[in-house]
This record gives sequence, structure tokens and C-alpha cells, in this order.
Amino acid sequence: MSIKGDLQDVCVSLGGTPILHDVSLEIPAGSFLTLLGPSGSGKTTTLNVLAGFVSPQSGHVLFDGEPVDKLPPERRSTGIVFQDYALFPHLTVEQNVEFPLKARRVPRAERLERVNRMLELVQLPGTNGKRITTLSGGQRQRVAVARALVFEPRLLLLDEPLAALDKHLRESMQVELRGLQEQLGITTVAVTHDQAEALVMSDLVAIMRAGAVEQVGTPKEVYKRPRTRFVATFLGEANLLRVDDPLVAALGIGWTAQGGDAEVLLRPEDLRLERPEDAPDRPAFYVRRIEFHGARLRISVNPDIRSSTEDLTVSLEACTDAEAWQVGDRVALACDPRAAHVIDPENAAPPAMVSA
Amino acid sequence: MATHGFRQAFGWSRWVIVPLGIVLALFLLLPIVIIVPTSLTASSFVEFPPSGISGRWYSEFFSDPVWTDALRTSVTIALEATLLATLVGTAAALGLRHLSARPQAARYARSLRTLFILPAIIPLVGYALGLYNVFGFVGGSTSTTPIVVGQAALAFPLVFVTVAAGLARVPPNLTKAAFSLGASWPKVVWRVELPLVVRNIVAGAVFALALAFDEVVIAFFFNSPTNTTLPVELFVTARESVTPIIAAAAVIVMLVALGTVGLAWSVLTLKSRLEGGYR
Amino acid sequence: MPLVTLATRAIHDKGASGIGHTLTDPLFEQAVTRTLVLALTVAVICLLLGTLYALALVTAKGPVKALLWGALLVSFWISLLVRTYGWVLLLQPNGVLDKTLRGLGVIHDSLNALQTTPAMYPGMVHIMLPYMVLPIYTSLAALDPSQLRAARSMGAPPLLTFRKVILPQLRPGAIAGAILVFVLSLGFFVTPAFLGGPSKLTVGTIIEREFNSVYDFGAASVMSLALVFVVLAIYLVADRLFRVGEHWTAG
Repeated sequence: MSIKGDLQDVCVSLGGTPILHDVSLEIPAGSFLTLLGPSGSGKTTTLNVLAGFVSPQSGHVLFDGEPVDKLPPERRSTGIVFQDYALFPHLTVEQNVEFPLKARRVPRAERLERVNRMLELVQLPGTNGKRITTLSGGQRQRVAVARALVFEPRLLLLDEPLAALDKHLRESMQVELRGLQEQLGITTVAVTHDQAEALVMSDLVAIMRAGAVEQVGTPKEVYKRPRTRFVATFLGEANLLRVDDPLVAALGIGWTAQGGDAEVLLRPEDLRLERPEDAPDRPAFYVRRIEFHGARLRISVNPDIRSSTEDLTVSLEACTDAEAWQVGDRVALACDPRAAHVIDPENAAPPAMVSA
Repeated sequence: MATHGFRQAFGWSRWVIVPLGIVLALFLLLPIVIIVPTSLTASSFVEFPPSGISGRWYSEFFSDPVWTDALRTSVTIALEATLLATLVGTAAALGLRHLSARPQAARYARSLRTLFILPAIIPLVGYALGLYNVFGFVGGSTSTTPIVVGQAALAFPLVFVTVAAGLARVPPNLTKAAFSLGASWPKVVWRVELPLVVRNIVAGAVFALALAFDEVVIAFFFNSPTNTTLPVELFVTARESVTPIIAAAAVIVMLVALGTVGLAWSVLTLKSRLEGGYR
Repeated sequence: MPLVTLATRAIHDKGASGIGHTLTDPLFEQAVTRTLVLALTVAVICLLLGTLYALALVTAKGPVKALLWGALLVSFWISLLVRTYGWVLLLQPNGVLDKTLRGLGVIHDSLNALQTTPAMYPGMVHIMLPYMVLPIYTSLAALDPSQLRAARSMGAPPLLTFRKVILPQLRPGAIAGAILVFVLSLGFFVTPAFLGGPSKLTVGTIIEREFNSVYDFGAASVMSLALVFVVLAIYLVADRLFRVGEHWTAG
């Protein structure tokens, strides 16, 4: 039952303000794709285009290769889980989950059976008669998921589905939701601004910025091999050095023929600290600041203790050795040159909408 | 509730504000305080304080066909006008919600909204006269139709505003969700939006009923021997003579209005208690 | 639609000169002046009293609060005709006011207060006050109490808090209410008819007189049209400037 979804050169503007600019996305059948980006980057609009609530000025939406541009939302067969769940407060759990089946005139006996199966799937069996107002946030989330899936939609759309839950619940729901999606094999598009959530849950992540897609790739690709500076800095923490920075050579990073504007990305966890006397050929730094993050330490280092230039950030496992570092220590910086990734400035051709 | 913050903020000055407020409240209640005892007088004259207490003027009210006919006419007209106003007002509010949801149409929505509210502020006298002209051309100004239509038009903004206020509190996502789940337009309205604003529709209808029941001006302009409403009878009689039966009639008008509101209020409270309430 | 026929009727019956003639009729001009003064005064009085009442509503607690709400809602719900009739009983010769004042020895003869211009004022204020209180109250209720606490924590005395924090935020509601009261008062009919009587005509009552006693439909139409235009113009301008409609509908 899984289908592939496509957006082709979709442009949307509202009241003269452009919202989406030539957005093209391929969503492989059965995959989980997350739209990730800062607020106002057009993620939710993209979701609304897929659902049919926003019609693009140009471009096409295809489900399994067939254009659905003319189909209104009620005939697109997309199950949506809204951020606020949008459960009908005047109906019971059962009536909520039953709603899409009723709209499709499914006979009552079959309706009940499918509702019950679905409620079991989301681990809420026997809650049929409960009122929505009596449910907890996590339970409401499950009902919303059940309602969005019960009619076997072609596409599952999640609009910040976990944003309203507290951290613990959110993390367990991430796993559960992903498990459910894999079990049913339904093609899913989610919107989030939580990068950890995007990396944990998705097969593919699409990073959006100012109404355009900046990069699409697996979580590993977009994190380790970002195409642009924006993607690099938006996902996680990034140390960016110009390729002609002497430090790059000193760290042993070789680079190919990009121009001098290219930058080298070094993730903090790829950097190590060594004692200067153990590594005399390594560049020397001072420890300027140490933050304790529980499992990890975040250490800011700089070649000059009083420098106003930007620090490099090193992230170390908070083991006993690492905890021995003190502010003011002289350290040698080391890294695995294979972890370094060069960002070609040509990739960063700014989307048309980025204000000058 | 903000009460506490205000009490603190005003400090000693609340000892001035609150007593003055009480004086004003008494001022608001003053006419009622006078009418009720007057209607209960045992004498044939309007007197305050009344001499003796009796229900004599009430039994006279109910035995005089002029007054009972007027009461019956009033109830019929008010119910018809309420029904009309509630249907049209609710439809207008729903229509406006769906119009506003479309970005291209949103700017018309605001103008329409203003237009829908206008009947509430147009001077009644002018409106009644205009209506008279309309029906004068059509003919049949002795039927109750023009009064019903006029009062419905008058009550329409009340229903519209009350229902629109309720719809404004229904998150747009609920409507979107219903559509995405495959519900057609009428189904979305009937199964999702209407059930959520039932209380507002009832409240709007009650506003409309109360307004229509004691509306004088339109009913007065179209007054004929067969369609005299209770307020018109009261108005006309009160202009010509002074008798305690007017006070009794006034009390009855008052009780009908308060009774309707009280009844609707308790029904709605009960309903929300049974349902656990939607906020 | 009724307004259209009003216009055609006015033009049809009277013609341009007739319209001018009707509008410059001294009786009508008197009524206009009387109505304007009445509406303006009522709006100002209601503004002051309404603000006071709304403040009392948010400040009072317990039974006093219940009394204030009760009085407001009851008078909102009771027919204005009935309330006006209450004023008739109060003001009429040998009515409550006369008796009370005589009892106190202030006057000896009847005050003959009914069917005078001043008699319209308390009645009109009484009818209009709820329209004023509700929008102001809505503004006040929307005010975040932590702002008041903030003002206090900075050491602001009550009067300063009122002037600088509360007053600016209730202004929109107050403006909305005042305009509503003014506009409604312009076209009011029942109360002036009862309390002002046939000799103290207002715009509303003069139109009714032309219609019901003089049978000059044309004149009535012209006057109505003028009234409707003025009211609509004021309302639409005010709506543009202050978004009156929104305050009023929120209440």
C-alpha cells in the first residue's frame, strides 16, 4: 500500500509574499522523510501542499506518479497528525477514530473492527468510550495517530507531532511512532524543528531554508556531509575553518582543488585534545571554557588565551581523563583527517528569497 | 481571575470605587423595584408604594382578550423571527469562517463582517420605515410577515456575532483535520463545526428571542388590529392612560425575557456538566 | 434593501427642493439639536459611569460582585420598554419622585418632570449604561494581572498605576462603548417618546410623528435617510479608526 510522493518545482506565494520557491522533493515509497528547518522556512507550507490545503501557483504534486493537484484535501487520502492533535472534543475516542471511516461510508461492523485493531496498535485498547478531554497528552497523541492511520491513507503527514509532549515521553514516542511506521510501511512526511528528532526518526531529512530545500539526504549524510554552510551550522555544532587557514594543514587535513572560499567542517566530537608535550607537532591551544553536559564535556579552545577570534569547540566523552582538563591549560589539538568535510561555497547559491 | 490584582492595584481607592458601583447597580435596578410593587397594588390607581397587595391586575390581564391576544401574537412572531434569525445568522457565521480560511478571500471577509453587524446599529426608526416602504410596495402590510422579517433582520447580528465568537474558538486545525480525514464540506459543518458551537447557537437564539419579544419600533410601525404585539399594546396604552395593568403587562414581558434566559442558561450549564465541558 | 426604497421614496415624494425644505424645517432642526445634545451628553455620562462600574466589577468580590453583575445583566435583559416604563412611573405627576421629594419637604407641588427634556436623560443613561460597561469590562478582563503586580513591585502608587497602566488599556473598549452609545442614542425612539413626550421631539420621535400622525411619508423618509446616513457614516469611520466592531463583538 505504500506509494511514492513527489513535489515538482512547487512555488507558493500568499498575498504576494513568496513562501515556497521551486521546491522539489522525492519521497520514496515506504520511507520516512522529515522536513527540518527554522521557523518560517516553509516546512509546514510544504506539508499543506501535500495535504491539499495550499494550492501551489506553479509546480505539481504527484502521488505514485499521478498528479493530484486538482484533488481537494478530502479526496487526497492523507492522514495528518496535527501538532495540537486536532481531535474532535465533542466526540469520544472511538467516534474520533471512526470519523474517517464514516466519511467513507464503511459499514458499522467493519468500522468497529478497524477502530479496535487500530486502538490496539497504538496501545490504547478499551478506551473507546472515553472523552478526549479526559486523556493525557500522550494518549491524545496516540488517538490522533490512530485516527490518521485507520483509513489506510496513501500518505501519513506529521506536523510537529511530538512538540507538545515532555522530553521523556517525546523520546519514547519517537521510537514507537517510527516502529509503527515501519510496521505499516506507510510513506510518511514529518515536519519538525527538533534536529535530534529528525535524525533519530527519519530515513531521509530535507533541510529547508527560506522557502527552498537546501539538502536532502539520509540523516548521516546531512550531518556528516552537509552541502552548505547553513546545513552544517543548523544541524549540530560546527567548527568551520577556511581551507587556506594554516590550522587546516597543521591538523593534517588534505583538500582538493576548491577555491580559497571553501570551508572545512570539523564536528566537535571529531576533535581530540592531547597534552602538548605528547604531541609537539600539533597546533597548540588554550582551554578557555569547560561546560559539563552530563555524558559529554564541551570545551572551547583558542590559540590565544585573550583572543577575540572565535573559539573552536571540542566535545569529549566525560571520562576521567577528559575531566582532568582545566581552564587555562595548554593543549594540543588533534583530529582524524577522514572526518573533515569540505563545503564548496558554490553549493551555497542563496535561494532567491533570502533577503539581502 | 484578575480580581485580586485589581484589588491590590487600587489600594484604598477601591473603598470609593466599589460603593459607587453599588449605587450605580441600585440605579440600574430602580425601575424594576418600582414596577413590580406597582403591578401588585390592590387599588385601581397607579400608586407607589402600593396600597394593599393583590394579584388583581394580573387576573385582569389574563381575562382581557386584548392583552392575551397581544401576548399570543408576540410569542408567535418572536418565535418565527428567532427561527429565521438563527438559521440565517448561523449560516452567515459558518460561511464567513470558510471564506476567511481562504487567503485570497480573507479581505472580503472583513467587509462582510462589518456588513453583517450593521443592522444592529442602524436606527430602528429609519429601518422600520424603509421596511414599511418595501412591504408597502409588495402589499400585505397587515400580515405579521413584515414584523417577523424586520425583527429577524434586527436579531440577525446577535446570532451572527455569538456564533462567530464560538467558531473563532474552534481551532482551524479541527476543520482541516476533518477535511483531511475525507469528510465532505457539509459533513465537516454538520459533524464537527456545528456540534462545537451548539451552545453559541442556543445563546444566540435566546438573545434573538429576547430581542424580538420586546421589540417595539418595527412592530409599532406595522401595527394593525390583528397583529398587535404585547410591547406595542403596552406602548400604546401607556401613552394614553395610566393604569396598573400596564405595570402588570410590563412585569410579564420582563418575566418572559428573564425566564427564557434563565432556562437557556440552566440547560446549557446542565449540558456542559454532563459532557465534561469543552473549552 | 429597505434603505434603498427609503431613498427612492424620499426622492420620489419630495424632489430635491422638498428634501431641502424638510431638512430645514425648524421643528426638525430643533429636534436635531436636541438629539445631538442628548446623545453627546448621554455618551459622556455613560463613559464616566461605565468606567466606574467596570472598575467596580473587577474590584468587588463576593456578594457585592454578584449584585453588580446581577444588576447589569438583569437590566441588559429586561426590555427597554419595561425599563422606560419604570421611569415613567418614577417621574410622573404624583409618582415616586414627587412623593419622595414632597416627603422630604423639598417641593410642595408636583415637579411635572415627565415629558420634559431633562426627563429623557436619566432614562437614556439607564438604558445605555450596559452597552458601555461590557466593552470596558472586556478590555479590563483582558488585562494581564501580572502587569499590575509588576507596577506595584516597582513601587507605583495606585493612582499612577491607574493612569499609566489601566487607563491606556481600557481606552479602546471605552471608545468603542462611547461611540456605540452615541450612535444608538441618535436614533433612539422608545425612551424619548415616553419620557420626552410629543412636545420634546427628537429625531426618532419626529420621524414617527410624520409617519403616524401627519402621514407625510416623504418627509419621514427624508429624515430617516439623513439619520441613517449620519449613523452609518459615524460607525464606519469609527470602525476604521478604532476597530469598534471588534471590541463590541468581543463583549
